[in-house]
Amino acid sequence: MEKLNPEIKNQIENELLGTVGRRYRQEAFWVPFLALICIGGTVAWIIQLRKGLGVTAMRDYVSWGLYISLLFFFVGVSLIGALVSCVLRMSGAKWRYPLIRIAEAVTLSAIFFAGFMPVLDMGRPERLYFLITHGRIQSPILWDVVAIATYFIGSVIYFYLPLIPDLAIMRDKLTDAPKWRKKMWRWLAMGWEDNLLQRRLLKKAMLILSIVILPVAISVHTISAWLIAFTLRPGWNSTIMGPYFVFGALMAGTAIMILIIAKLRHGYRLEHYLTPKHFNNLAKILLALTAFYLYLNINKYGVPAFKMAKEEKGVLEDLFYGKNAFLFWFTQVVGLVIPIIILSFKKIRQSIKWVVAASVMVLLGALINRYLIVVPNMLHPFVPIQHAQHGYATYNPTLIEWTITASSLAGFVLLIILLFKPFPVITMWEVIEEVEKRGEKEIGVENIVNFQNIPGHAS
Amino acid sequence: MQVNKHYILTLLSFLLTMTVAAQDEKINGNIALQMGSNDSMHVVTATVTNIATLQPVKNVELTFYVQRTFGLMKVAEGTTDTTGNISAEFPLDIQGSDSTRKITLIAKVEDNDVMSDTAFQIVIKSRLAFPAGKPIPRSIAGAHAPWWLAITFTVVVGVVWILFVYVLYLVYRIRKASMIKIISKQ
Repeated sequence: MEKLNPEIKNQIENELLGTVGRRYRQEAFWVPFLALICIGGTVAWIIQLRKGLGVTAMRDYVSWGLYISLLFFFVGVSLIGALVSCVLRMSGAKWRYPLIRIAEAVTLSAIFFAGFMPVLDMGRPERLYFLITHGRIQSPILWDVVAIATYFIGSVIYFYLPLIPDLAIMRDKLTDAPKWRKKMWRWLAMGWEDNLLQRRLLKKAMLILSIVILPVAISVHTISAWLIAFTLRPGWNSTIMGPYFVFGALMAGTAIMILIIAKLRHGYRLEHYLTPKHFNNLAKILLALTAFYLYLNINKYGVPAFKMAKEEKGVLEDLFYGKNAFLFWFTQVVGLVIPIIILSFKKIRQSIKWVVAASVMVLLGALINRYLIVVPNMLHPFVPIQHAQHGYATYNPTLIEWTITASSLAGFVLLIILLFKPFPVITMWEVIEEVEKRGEKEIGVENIVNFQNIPGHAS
Repeated sequence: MQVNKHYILTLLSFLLTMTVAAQDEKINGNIALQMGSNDSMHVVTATVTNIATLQPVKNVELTFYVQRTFGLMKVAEGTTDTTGNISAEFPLDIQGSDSTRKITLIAKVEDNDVMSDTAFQIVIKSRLAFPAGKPIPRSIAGAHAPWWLAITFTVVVGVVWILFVYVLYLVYRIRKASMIKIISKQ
């Protein structure tokens, strides 16, 4: 193992510390814009709380609308942390190091909002307390609440653990930072001195958590799938739901990860650390997941369509050539087939712009797909809808629902941006350690010794 | 214009009078219930009479319900004969709604052209013992989860949380390790 020149090491630290407290490009626009949407959503939620769920389009038949669709989306996106931190760790992919903290931040933000969505869906959120006091262990709703809470706590710990050595670097180097930040870094750094015992303990803690967090992450999404698969409804009454949700989640998580690292790379000028190699590798994973998800879709929709059982007919016709046909074929063609074609070409995979474009398509498809999983199936119950009042047998989300949904998505992005305000975007100590061990190429970083420092707290 | 206004007012008054008159045409009735039984069925006989004249009322549709925990269970229905009587049967093995074995039988006249809405109820005793002392088995659909599920759930969630706590303990030891170094330096 060749030690890095202390001067170069120092320069890497300074460059990565440069993201702390530095203004993200176009931040002056994005942060107030996202915050405004969040305020709008909060106002809409207050109206919903005061007037009741009658202000939404949810009625007897469609009792889960946009909110629960978004819950499934957020739970799905949150799996990216498990993918990067555990799956890639176990597969020995060294290029994951610059991505770890970003993936964990995405996970943390996603699971936070995933936990919030059922609360938004409740007419009386204060009654959530009764779910704990009167919860039935047989109910997947209780499992889901427990799994989301467990995954959230696990994700907070996993976000924190690799941060400890970086907090110590910040504590020692960023002496001109505001007092509260210095105090926070000192407290959170846990007296880190980089001695052998501390390293051994930290690595042990990270190893245990990376093993534990994977089944927890998978269980969160599987249980979300069971929420619907355990009910007797056409379209939901299927054994494929667990893997269908998990792989759909990994696909959406990878797509959003690509978009976020593209934005951070540009916004924080991290071109040396988030390189085309990362985009290419993530694009390969996205290609594999998208192709597999298409295969799952063929099974999920193709098998019942071949049989066309009476109960399934209504929902399948609605999706294939009915009211939701445009959305359904959009998710299949634009969300899956076209990205598969695009990402199949090596040359295209090496272009960040094309990878980002494919990811946008996959993400849009995944978002709409969550809606299609929830709403059309609720409109086609086993007992046919008869003599329903006007507006009860259809679902057209109201402005209140759209506003709250938009604000949740905006809040998700805003929380990621805010998480990188007091902490560096990239894990400094792990990147330095791995560059020392294996060299730049394997980690995927480029020319990190030839960079320009950008003013931040570190400079 | 004036003529039209006058015409409309007259028409409205006429319609109002007709409505009131139509309402007045409905009679107020009384329902008397008499219970009996044969080998396998409860037999209920209802007699519907006019409150004002005490005469039986014929052709009145009557529905019989049994009160359950969350609503009414329809057990029979029919129309009164010329003597104002109607008989109906419902099973003898119907369970009472509480440990006192009470069965509340309700006879209702609803949305009837002849008679205003009327209801009458009677409480009888079920012949079946209420299964109060009988333990309800644990099951997926029951009030309490089966043991295998409760144990699996608790163990799985417990193991994960114990590991979280252990990881936090390791973090605590990281802080301790720093102190050891300070002490050894001294």
